[in-house]
Parts: sequence; C-alpha cells; structure tokens
Amino acid sequence: MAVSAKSAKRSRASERRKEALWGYGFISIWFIGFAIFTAVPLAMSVYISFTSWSPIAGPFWEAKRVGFANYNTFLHDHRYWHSIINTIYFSFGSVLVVNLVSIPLAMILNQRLRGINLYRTIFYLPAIMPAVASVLIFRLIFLPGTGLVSWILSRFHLQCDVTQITCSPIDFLNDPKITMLVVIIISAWGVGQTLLIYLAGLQGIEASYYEASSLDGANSWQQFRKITLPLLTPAIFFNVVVGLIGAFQEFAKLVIYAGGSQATGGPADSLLTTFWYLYIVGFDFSRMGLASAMAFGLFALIMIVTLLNFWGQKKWVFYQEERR
Amino acid sequence: MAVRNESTAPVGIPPVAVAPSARVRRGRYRGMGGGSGGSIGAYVVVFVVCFFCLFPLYWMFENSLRNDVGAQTSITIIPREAHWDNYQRMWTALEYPFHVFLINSFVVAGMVTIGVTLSCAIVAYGFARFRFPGRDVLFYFIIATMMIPFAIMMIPSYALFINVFHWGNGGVIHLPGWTGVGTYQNAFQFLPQIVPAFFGSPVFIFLLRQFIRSIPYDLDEAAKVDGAGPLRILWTVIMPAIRPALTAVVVLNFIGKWNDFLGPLIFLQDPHNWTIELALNGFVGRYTVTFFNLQMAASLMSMLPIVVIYFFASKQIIEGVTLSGVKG
Repeated sequence: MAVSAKSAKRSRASERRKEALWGYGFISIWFIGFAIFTAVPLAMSVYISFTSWSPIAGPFWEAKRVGFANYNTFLHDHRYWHSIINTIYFSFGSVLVVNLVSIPLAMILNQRLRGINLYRTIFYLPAIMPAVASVLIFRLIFLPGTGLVSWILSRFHLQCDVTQITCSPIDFLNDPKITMLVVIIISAWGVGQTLLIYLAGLQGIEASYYEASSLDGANSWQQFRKITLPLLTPAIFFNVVVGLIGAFQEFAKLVIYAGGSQATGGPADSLLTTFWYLYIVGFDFSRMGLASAMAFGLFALIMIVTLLNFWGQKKWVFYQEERR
Repeated sequence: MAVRNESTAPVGIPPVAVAPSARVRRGRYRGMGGGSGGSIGAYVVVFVVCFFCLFPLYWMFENSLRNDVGAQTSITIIPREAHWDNYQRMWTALEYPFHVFLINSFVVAGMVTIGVTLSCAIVAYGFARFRFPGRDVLFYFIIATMMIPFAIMMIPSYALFINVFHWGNGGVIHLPGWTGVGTYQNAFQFLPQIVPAFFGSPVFIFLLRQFIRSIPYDLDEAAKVDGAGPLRILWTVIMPAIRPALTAVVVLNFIGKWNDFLGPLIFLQDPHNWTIELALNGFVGRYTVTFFNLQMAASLMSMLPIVVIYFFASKQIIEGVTLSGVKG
C-alpha cells in the first residue's frame, strides 16, 4: 500500500509539473512578443533619445551620441510647451465633455425604456466610425458660410446672415481661437464608448438600495446624490483614466481636422498636440533622437496625470464591495 | 454577484470594467428610483440623441450626391439632384483604384484579427486552466503593460522594423490580372502591423481569460478522460464554448485596425499599400479645390464595411466593450 501511495504522490507531482509546463508554454507566446516588440524597443528608445539619429543617414546604432542635448533642446523649445498646453486643453476638455454628456444619458437609458437595445446600438454606432471619415463629415458640417452650423447660427441671429455677401461668418476651420474647441465638441460624437461603461456601472447598483431609500422617503435627487453618484464613482474613475490616456495620444482627429497635412500644426499651431509634434519632429524633420526625448516628456506627463488620478481616487472613489 | 472574484480584477482597474455578471443581468433594467418605465421626457432626449448620432451619417450620404460645388454654394437638407457618378469618379481619383485600398485594409485588418484572436485565446487558456508558480503576478504584469503609452513606442518600433528587420521596403508580390490589384512592390511594409498581432494583446487576453474561467471545468475533465491533450481541449471544448467572446474579439479587432490611421501612416509609405484611411487622407489635401462630394463618397465607402459588421454583431460588440472597456 505504502508503495502505491508514494507512486501516486509522485505521479501527481509529475502531473503538476506537466501542467505548469503547459501553462508556461501557452503564456510564453505573449512574453516572447513583449520582449521583441515592447521591451527591446523601450530600451532602444532610451538609447535613441541620446543620439542625433536621422533615419535618412543610416541605422540608429551608427548615429552620433549627443548626451542630454535632445532633452535640453525640447525643454527650451517654446513650440513644445505650446503643444503641451494644447494637449492638456484637448484631453481634459474632451474627457470632461464626453463624461458630462454620457452620465445623464446613461441614467436616462437605464430607465425601463422601450427599445433600449436599439437606442444603445445607435448611441454606440458613432464610437466605432473611423476617425478620418467622421472628422471629414464634421469639417463639412462646420464649413464656414454654407455649412450646417454656420447656417443654423445665422438663422438664430447668433452671427451675420450667411446669405449676405458682406457677412464674414465664424471660421470654424481656420480661426485658431476656436479650432481646438470644435475638435473637442466633435469628440462628443463618440460618446458611446464611455456611455456603455456607465450603463454597466448603473446596472451593477443593487435595486435594494433604491427600494430601501424610497421607503425612507428619499426623493429622486437625494437618491442620485447619495446612491447613484457614489456607486458610479468607480466607473467615473475608469472612464477618466482611460479617457485621458487615450486623449493624450489623439492624432487622427486633430490631423484630419487641420486639413490632412501632418506637417503643420493646424491654423497657427492651434491643434498641435505633443503627440503630433513628436510625429512631426520624428517623421517630417527626421530628428528621431529629439522626438524620442520628447516622447519621454509626454510619457512623464501621462504618468503624472495617471498617478495623480490613482492617488486622488482614495478620496472620492467608492467601491461597493469594501463596505459589505 | 456570485461570479465576481476579486482576484480576477486587474491591477489598478476598478471592478466596473470587469462587470462579470453583465451577461447574467442583461435585460433587467432598473429605473433610477426603482420606478417603472421612462417618462416622455426621457424618450424625447433619447430621440434627440439618436438624431445627433445618425444625422452626420445622413449628411455624408446627402453631400456625396451633390455636384462639385454643392457643399459650398447651397444649404439644403434634401438633395436636389443625385450625382451617382460621384462614386465612379471617386473610385479612380487617386493613383490606384479605390478597391486596392479596400483590399489593403481587409488584408491588414484581417491578418491582425486572426493573429490577435488565436494568440490571445491560447494565452488566456494558459492563464485560465493551468496552475503554475507566479501565475497571478505574470497576469497582472500583462495587464500593467497596457499602461505603456504608444507615444514612447512609436519611434523605437519604427527603428526596429526599418533598421533591424528591414521591413521598410521590398517584398514583391505579383497578383493575377483578374484581381485588378496589380503588383505589390513593397509588401514587407505590411509586416510591422501584422506580425506583432500574433503575440497577443493584453485587453483581449484579459477578456478571454474571464470567459474561459466561467466555463465549467467538468467539460475539460470529460475531454481529458477521453484522452484529449491540452491543445485538443482548447480547440474542441474551450473555443466553441467561448464563441460569443471570440466574436467580440474578432469584430473589435477588425474594426479597430480598419479604423487605424497612425500605424498605416508610419509604415505603409508606398501608396499602393495604403489602407482606406490613408486613401481618405490622400483625398483631403489632393486638390486646390476641395471636392466635398468625392470626399463624402469615399468616407461612406470607408464606413460601409464597419456598419455592415456592426449590423450583424452589435450585440457581441456591446457586450465585449462593456466587459473589457476596450474600444473598437
């Protein structure tokens, strides 16, 4: 008996080893890819940021090493800081607009409406539309003079009558003071993404909370303030973090709104975000070393904002599970 | 709530993104205060929002039928005349006929989708069904890498693919004449986008792992008793059981890559390799006079496949997005 128990134990141990080997084998696919396509490039990125590599001149390992010159250059480049301000303007602006629109919408959708699935499908449709084509549509809608927005504004006497030859309508496409604002407004068209997360968050709130509070005589507003909003904070947090990281790296929308030329920054650089700027420096000016250094500057900004978010969440994000 | 397991929540991402019981709970919509039904006001808001979502698409279609100066000269909601030949003109307006770009988009998006789906299913299976030391740490590591922004990857990736792998040009592919596509002089330019896809992607690994964990283990056991090895089990038991999730992964990846602008812009330098997004971009700055009608016709062509896919798979897309927080 003892022998067979021992052998059973041994076979179980070998079975466990085999299972572990299979497991490692399967997951190694991702780790091999990570090593080649993420870890190695990351290391290269650090190296390139200390060189004056230009892809025209040859491979990056032949480029001259220049120490901290690239970092010095971009930190003293006022166009870079201008792009940082644009980046902050665009990302906070678009995340704010999208979230302010989608929370009330999600709450309305969360009521027992007829045809909820249809509405949800329609609301999400713009979010999967290609950025290039959707921005092209909005360029047309915002066309000064004969565009839809221009026409509506003049109809409501918010600007001069566009049918008059003397009228010079608001130039949504070229006025550097408003172009970024328009792109932020356009971003709200893709609200469906954020909306779905809020909808899932709302559906995760136990109905019993509402039942109990109505028994205590709470009205809808009190229920919203004391139940819905606190329990929705994890969803708000998620949407803000993910939204900001995405918005910091928005490219297509801004480039296309600027008229499709990657080499400028829109009218008077009004749409030039840092991500776009480092694209220009890298691919149009062929100064890859400088662009790599700039990328680390942007990375630092993203990390600071994300860490601030995570640090701040302790103060306002409320997790249902912790209190059970 | 029984399905929720806190250990499955990724580092730093709040549980809302996990929402594991979203599937179970589907169809039960509670009112704000437990009230029944929506008010008239709610319907009005919903209809207005639906209008705002759909109107730009109508506007695109309407403008695609106008004459060359239609957009600049008149303000109309209903088209006065329909210039269907705009689509014909648009098709041949660039150096290569438009179907070349459509095919390129299909090839890139299709290959990426195949790669991501297969690799993520395998990796997710490894995490969901096998016990090994360090499993949770490794999994959290994968999730944490989602935080690496593309901004710092863009230039070194370019250096890697161009300098090290020499995928910047070369790779001649002759296609038979009936395809109407002609010869790809620089087919290698497609590889920087396709090859990495075959090594998995964190979000979808996460999504599929969640689904595989929800399948009863008895199914694996039964197959194991029948003598099936791990790969057989993956193929014959797991894959069929997570079909809805796989559909979501397939569709989200396809849409995501189809809509991608930056990746193709960096790597597909040869105009013959352009995807439809690049071709659209090519339209914008091409003429001194802007042909909005042709732009809109081309835009519509770039959206059409996405709309068709969405029409058939919106349920899986919405579920996948709700579960993973990923965007198409």
